[in-house]
Amino acid sequence: MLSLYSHGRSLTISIIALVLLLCSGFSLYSQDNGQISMDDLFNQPASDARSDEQPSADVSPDTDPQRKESVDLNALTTSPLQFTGTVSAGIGIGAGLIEWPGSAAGDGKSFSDLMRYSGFYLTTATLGIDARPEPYLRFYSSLSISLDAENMNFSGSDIGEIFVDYTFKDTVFVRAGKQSLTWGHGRLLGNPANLVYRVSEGVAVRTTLPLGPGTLNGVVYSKGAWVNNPYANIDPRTFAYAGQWESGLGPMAFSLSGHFKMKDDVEEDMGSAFSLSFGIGPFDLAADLVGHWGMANPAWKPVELEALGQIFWENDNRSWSLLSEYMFDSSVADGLGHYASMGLKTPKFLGTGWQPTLLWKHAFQDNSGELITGISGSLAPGLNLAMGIPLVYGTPGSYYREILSSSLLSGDSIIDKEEGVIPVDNVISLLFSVTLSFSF
Amino acid sequence: MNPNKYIPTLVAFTLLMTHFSMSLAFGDEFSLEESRLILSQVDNLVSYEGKDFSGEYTITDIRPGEGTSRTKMTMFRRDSVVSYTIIIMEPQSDKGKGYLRQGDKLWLYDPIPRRFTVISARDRFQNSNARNTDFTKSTLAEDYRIVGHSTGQLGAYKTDIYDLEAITDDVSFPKMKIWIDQDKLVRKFEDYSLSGRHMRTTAIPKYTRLQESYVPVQIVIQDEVRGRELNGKFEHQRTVISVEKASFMDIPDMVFTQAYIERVSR
Repeated sequence: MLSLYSHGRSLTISIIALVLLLCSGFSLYSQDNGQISMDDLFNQPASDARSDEQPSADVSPDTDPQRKESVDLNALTTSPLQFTGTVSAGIGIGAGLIEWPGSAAGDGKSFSDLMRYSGFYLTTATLGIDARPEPYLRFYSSLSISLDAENMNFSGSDIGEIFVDYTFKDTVFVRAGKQSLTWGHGRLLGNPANLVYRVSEGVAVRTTLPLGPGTLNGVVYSKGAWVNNPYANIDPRTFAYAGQWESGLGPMAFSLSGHFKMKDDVEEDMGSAFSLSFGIGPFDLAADLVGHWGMANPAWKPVELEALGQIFWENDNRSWSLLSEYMFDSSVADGLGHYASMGLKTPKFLGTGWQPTLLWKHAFQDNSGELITGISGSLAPGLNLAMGIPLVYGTPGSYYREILSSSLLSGDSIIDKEEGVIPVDNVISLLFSVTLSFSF
Repeated sequence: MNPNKYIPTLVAFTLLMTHFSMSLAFGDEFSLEESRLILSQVDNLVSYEGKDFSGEYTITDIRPGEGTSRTKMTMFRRDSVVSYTIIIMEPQSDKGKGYLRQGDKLWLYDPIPRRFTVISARDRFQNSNARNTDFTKSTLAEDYRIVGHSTGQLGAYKTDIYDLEAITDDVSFPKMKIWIDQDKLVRKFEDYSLSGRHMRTTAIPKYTRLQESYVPVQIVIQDEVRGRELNGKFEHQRTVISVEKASFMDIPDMVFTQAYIERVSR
């Protein structure tokens, strides 16, 4: 009887607790009838498990099984075979002027003669396979198939990554295979401190382990163009060797990195970089100093020196973002290799989801540059529209008249993405794109 | 005996006692040491020195008129070396992102370019109303001093209310007001800018006791600046954080490394 009574009372308490819990949960998310006051969240007496004297309505310190559960570390590093995918499809159209009418480069041609129309179709499907049979073992592969717009056919495929991870005694992490890797801070003007930018073009073995107060990364890699050119695939000289030690001092993070390849195809056998980043007030600052040496040159005479400075600011609401970079490249004659850039993300337009962005790049060597204004937003779930006006200035043949504008119509902020969709070498263009993108 | 001669003494004594009681009541005379003593009691209950902490967090960001987004993450924290690792599990678009804090430095790992970037610890976490600093141990005693005190009722709780002023620049907000219940647990705090603008309110309606410490398992953060007027009423942006699987189990050292974030990244 007592048992039944106790059981009944427990049931009643449980029901009351459940009702209270549900009410409490709903009230936190309540929006239909306006927000409840923050103070009203405390109207129910002690619902937490904070003391034996005030028993909880929904949990108790000693019997709640939830608190006996803990994060399963193995579940983070093991999982059954998983398939993932991303599909992007889009169309874009553009119209622009090859040269300014009336300018010397325009050669007396009319507005319509100088007008050029362009467009693109884009469809890319990327499939990924992820297998983690043991906490120390992982296999990952991603395969992309893209539309060949010239032949209107899906011909060929590209293996983005295919690698195996092995973790030795929870300390040494090894990744072997085709993989991506990025060092350095540069985003707008290139990334000179990314000494390992060619890792994704071949296969690599990378090791990461703690060393002293920092982390040591070691990479050995090679790519097809280096094999038998001039060394055989078993010759150590076919491979490039890179290392990076990353550590910090107070709020400063820094890294030292080096890269070596005998008879490098870019005619620089050895590269080294020092990177530094830290925050001052609302600003994040970063700097990279990079040197490249050739075996034929004396050690004190680098083939090339590059320096990059970066500043990033975001207001408290994250509605305004500013990223600015300055770069010096000694390979440009007469010390004129100075570049500056700025990316600006403004608040969404009139409270809508439309995001205006601005990107400016300038080469001081010939005073050429590009200014891209754009706006992008969502038309429907997964469906994005972007509109942009890239303006390229400088004389014909100048630095920015020769390279292609990029990062405009990716559907995301120009600060966040570097991949472009429509190549633009007009002096001014008007571009539209609609893209559908989703993951599964 | 002339009683009048005691009047100035009585007046002086009364004034002194009034001043003393006013000081106690309004706390405008707290020394730095007194501040540290009070605030360190508060810190100690939610700091896990000598222990590793882990838990699964669900962060629900409510933007009136815009919708609701949800982020699920796994958190590993080691207060003895001011370090934490956060692995983003959901949404799918952010899955595999990771945060590593070591002392004053905070790295964000982006699995697409496979790059670690140093970011500000004071930034908003995943664009929610939570700050990256909200996931470290409580350091009220190190960062603030008490400049005012009163008492008041906060719902069912009788609380001490302290006005705080930062004594270091390494904080997200230079002024705070905190509500402490009778068990020395922070129940609510308000963050203010230097100019005194009310920026954020945080409520902690629910804690779980774990060994001798307390883990906030339900946190509601309200942005006092951002929001939208709906049906004639201004509704604030809110972030609701709930914590499950809170535990003090030992965590391998490797979890607090960049290599681990790469290893578990999807």
